[in-house]
Amino acid sequence: MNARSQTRAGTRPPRKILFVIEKLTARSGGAERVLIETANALAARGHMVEIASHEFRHGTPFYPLAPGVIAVNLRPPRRGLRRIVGRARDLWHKVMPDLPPFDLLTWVSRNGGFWRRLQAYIRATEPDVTIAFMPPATTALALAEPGHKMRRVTSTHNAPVQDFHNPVRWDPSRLDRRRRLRLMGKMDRIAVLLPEYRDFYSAALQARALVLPNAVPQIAPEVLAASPRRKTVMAVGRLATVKRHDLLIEAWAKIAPDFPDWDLRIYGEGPLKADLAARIAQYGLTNAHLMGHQTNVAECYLEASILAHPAEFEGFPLAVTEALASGLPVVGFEDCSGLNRLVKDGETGILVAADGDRLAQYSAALAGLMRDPTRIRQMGAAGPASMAAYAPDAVIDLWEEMLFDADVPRGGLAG
Amino acid sequence: MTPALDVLLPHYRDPAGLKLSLSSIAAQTWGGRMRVIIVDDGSPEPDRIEAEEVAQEFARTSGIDMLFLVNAQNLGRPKTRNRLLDAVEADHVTWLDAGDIWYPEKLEVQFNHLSRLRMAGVDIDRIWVTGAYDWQQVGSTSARTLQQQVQGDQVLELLDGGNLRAYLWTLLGTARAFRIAGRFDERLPRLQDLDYFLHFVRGGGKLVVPEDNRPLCRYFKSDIGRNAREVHACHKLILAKMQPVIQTQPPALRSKLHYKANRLAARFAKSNGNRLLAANYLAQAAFGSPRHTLRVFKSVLTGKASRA
Repeated sequence: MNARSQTRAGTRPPRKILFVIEKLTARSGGAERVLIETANALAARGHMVEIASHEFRHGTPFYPLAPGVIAVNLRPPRRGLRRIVGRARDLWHKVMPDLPPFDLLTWVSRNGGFWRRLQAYIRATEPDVTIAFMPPATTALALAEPGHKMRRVTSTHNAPVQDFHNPVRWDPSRLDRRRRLRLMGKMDRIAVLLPEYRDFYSAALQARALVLPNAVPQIAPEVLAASPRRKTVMAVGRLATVKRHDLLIEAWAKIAPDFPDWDLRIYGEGPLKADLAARIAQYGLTNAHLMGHQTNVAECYLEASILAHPAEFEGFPLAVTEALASGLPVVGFEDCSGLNRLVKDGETGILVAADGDRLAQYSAALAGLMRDPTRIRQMGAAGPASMAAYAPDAVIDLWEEMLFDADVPRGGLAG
Repeated sequence: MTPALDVLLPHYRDPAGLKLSLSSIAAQTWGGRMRVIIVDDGSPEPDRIEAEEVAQEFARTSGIDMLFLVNAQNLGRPKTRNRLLDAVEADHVTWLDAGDIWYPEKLEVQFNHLSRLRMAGVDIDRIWVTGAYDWQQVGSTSARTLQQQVQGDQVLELLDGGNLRAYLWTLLGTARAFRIAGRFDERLPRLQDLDYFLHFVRGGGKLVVPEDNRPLCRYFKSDIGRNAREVHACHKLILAKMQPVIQTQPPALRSKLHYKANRLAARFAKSNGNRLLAANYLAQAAFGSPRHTLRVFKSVLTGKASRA
C-alpha cells in the first residue's frame, strides 16, 4: 500500500486536500459534479481528500463519493433558537437597503458564519491545500486565516463576467461584488476554464491563473461505432432561465411538423420544469419530453443524434463536452461563452448567429441539420477527437501540478 | 512472492514486549503467507540491537518473513505508523503493538469472517474486522473481556468510546480498506488511533465483528509515562476536527464528549502521580460540562443507593 506508488508519477507524497463549496447536498449541477469527480480522482491517487460545504440542508451529495473522500457540512442545523435567529436574519437581509453601513452588516450576517467556521475547520485539520469552488466559497477561503502554511486555490466555473459583475448571481449586494474580485488577490492559484477567461483578470492575478478545463470522459471508438442512433434531439441541463429551454421548445414547435419521426428529449430538473411542461402542452407537442434527471445520461448521448444547447452563457459546459465526446453534433449560439470555444462551427456543430431573430435562426439551423444525416454523421465523427485533450488523466495531472508544484504551470491544457 | 498479509508492528524501547508479541504471531493457527514489518522508532542502541535480535530469532524459528526497519531518531508513533503503511505490499493488513498479544485463533477467525462477507457479496474493501479483546491493567493478574459493539452510528460510538474503541491491534482488513483511513495525523502523539478510525468510518468504511465473540487478543494497559497534557491536547484537537459532526448532535452528547476528554486526561494525570493536574482536569470536566457532570453524579448516587 505504498502511498507514494498510488500517484501516477510515483513521486508525489500524499497530501491533505480540502475542497470547499457553499452547497453540495443533493445538488446535481455541473460544478458539483466536477468537484466530486476531481476529489475522487485525487483520492484514487493516494491523497487524503475532504469536501466542506456550508448549508442548512444536511444530507449526502448527489454524486457518489469514492472510498476515503469525506464530505462535511460546517453549518449547524437550523434548529431551536438557531431557527428563530435565522428567520430574523433572512428578514433583515430582505429589508435592509444596499447602502452603507447596512450593507456591511448584511454582508457579515450573510457571509461571516461561513468564513469563521471554515477558518476553524482549516485550523483543526491543517490541509496542505484548500480549493474553493465558486464565489461564496472563494470569499470564505480568502478571509480565513489558516494558522499554518497552506496553498489557497480558487476554481472558477463560469465566465468571469458572470461571477463578478452579474448583479443577480451569488450575493446580490454591491459590496459583495466589489469584495469578490478584490479577494481573488488572496488566492495563490486561480483556475479558469478557458484561456480567454484568464484575460479578464489584472496582470498580477493572471500570473497566478491557470487554464484548467473540466475533465471529459473519453468514449472508446468501438463503443461509438456500435451505438444505435435514433432520430432524437436531446438537451441536457438544469431547467433554469439561462439554459433557454423555452426557446428550444418554441423552435421545436416550429419545426416538429416537418419531422414527425423525430423527438426532443430534455434531461434535467430545475425551477422552470412546470413552466416548460406547460409550454409543451400549450403547443401540443407529443414528441417533446421532459425526461427529468437520469443517472444514465451518458448512455442517452450514445442513442441520440443531435445536442441542442441554446444557453445564453456557459463556463465550460459539461453537456456540450460529453455530447462531443459521444459523437453528437451540437447546435448552440455563437455568443454563448464556453460553448463557442468548444464547438467548431461547421466541423463539430453549428454556432447560430446571435444577431437578429434568435428563435428563427436557431429553428432553421436545427432543422437544416436534422434534414442532413450525412452532415450529422460527419460532424458527430469529428467530435470525439476534439475532446481528446480533456481526457481525465491529463486534467488530473494538471490539477496536481496546480495544487502542489512551486511554479504556476503556464497555459494548462487549453492555453 | 507477495505475502497475503502484512503485520505492522511499531516498536520503541521494549524488546521483551516485542518478543511476547512475536511469539503470539508465530502461534497463529491461520496458515496463509504473512510478513511481519517492524519499525523501531529510534530506540536507544541497546534496546534496538536486542529488538533486532528478537526479530531475527522470530523469523528464523517461525519461518515467517520479517522486515526490520529503523528510524534514525525517535519520530513518535504516528510517523512510525505511517512508515509502516508505506511498507505495505500485501493484500491484507493487520496491526500489533509491541507488548500486546493475539490469541492463536485471531487471524483465522477474522479471515474466515472476511471470506463469509465476500461470499455474501459484501464489498470487503470497505470493511475492517475488529473483535472482542481482553483488557489487562499492567500489574494486575486479571483481565476483563470487552466486546466491540458495532451497531449504531460508528462515528459517535467511537467518539463516545464506551461500546466501540479504536484499537488497531484488533483489526484485520484489506490493504484497500486501510487506504480509506488515509494516514495517521502526525500532530497527534496520542490518540492517533481514534483519529484514524474516525477517518475510516467518515470515509465510507465500516467496522464489523465476527459472529464468534470470544476475545481475540489481549491488551496490556498502562497509563504510566503518558503525558496527561499531551493526551488532553490530542483529544481536544480530535474534537475540533469532529466539530462539524458533533454540532449536529444533541447538547447532552456534546457535553458528554467534552467531559470525557477532561476525565481521560485526569486519569492519566492521576496515574502518573500528578494529583493537582488531575484535579484541574476534573474541575474543567465539572464546570465545562455541567450537564454531563450532573448526570454522572446522579448515576453515582443512584448506584450507591441501589448497592445500599
